[in-house]
Amino acid sequence: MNMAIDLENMKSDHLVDARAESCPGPLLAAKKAMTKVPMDGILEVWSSDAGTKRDIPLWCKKIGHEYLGDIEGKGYFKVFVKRKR
Amino acid sequence: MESEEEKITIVVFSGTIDRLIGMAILTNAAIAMDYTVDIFLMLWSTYAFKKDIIGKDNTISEHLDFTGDKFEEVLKTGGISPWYEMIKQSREMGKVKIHVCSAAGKAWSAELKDLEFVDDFVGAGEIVWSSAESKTTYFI
Repeated sequence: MNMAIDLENMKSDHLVDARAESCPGPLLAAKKAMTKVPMDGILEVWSSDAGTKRDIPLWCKKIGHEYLGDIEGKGYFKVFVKRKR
Repeated sequence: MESEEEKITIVVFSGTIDRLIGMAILTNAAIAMDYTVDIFLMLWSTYAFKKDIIGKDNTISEHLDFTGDKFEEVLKTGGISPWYEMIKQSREMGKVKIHVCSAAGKAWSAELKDLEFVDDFVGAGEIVWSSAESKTTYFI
């Protein structure tokens, strides 16, 4: 998690609620949703699947997006990604 | 090489749903990560992709005391979609080609029209070639 970024107050450009999805559903949902995010915009993904917290940083590394970090919600977590391509 | 051109090969021998789910999940993940995927169906997986079988045969290969129906309940609890729905989704979202070993097709007397999602028949040489050209090959 990037401590320099205030994720609690982060305003996202697009929110994906993938809490009902099992792995790799949230990852696919993130990929699909990113097309709706403007360049340098923020995608926020909600997931209750533990694998997502590890998959999304790897996805960012592979694709070239910037992984901003994650924060805990109630029974789920929120992941933030900045679109870079 | 552009990331979109990076390829993963999945050789699927088994045709039971517990293993086909593994194939489908890896395909879903690979597509999400912008890999292209070449799936090669061998003997039993070709049978599972037959239009008159797909979605109807819930045999599982391991834990034989576990019935297919009980296993489907486990999948439902886990929110895991049927393998063929995941494959359909992967093909809609990315580059997934599904090839059938020509010998397997012949063994089941299956033509392309008899098989769901399948793009073509290939020889074993192409399977080996694809694997050699891929970043990774999974054998299921």
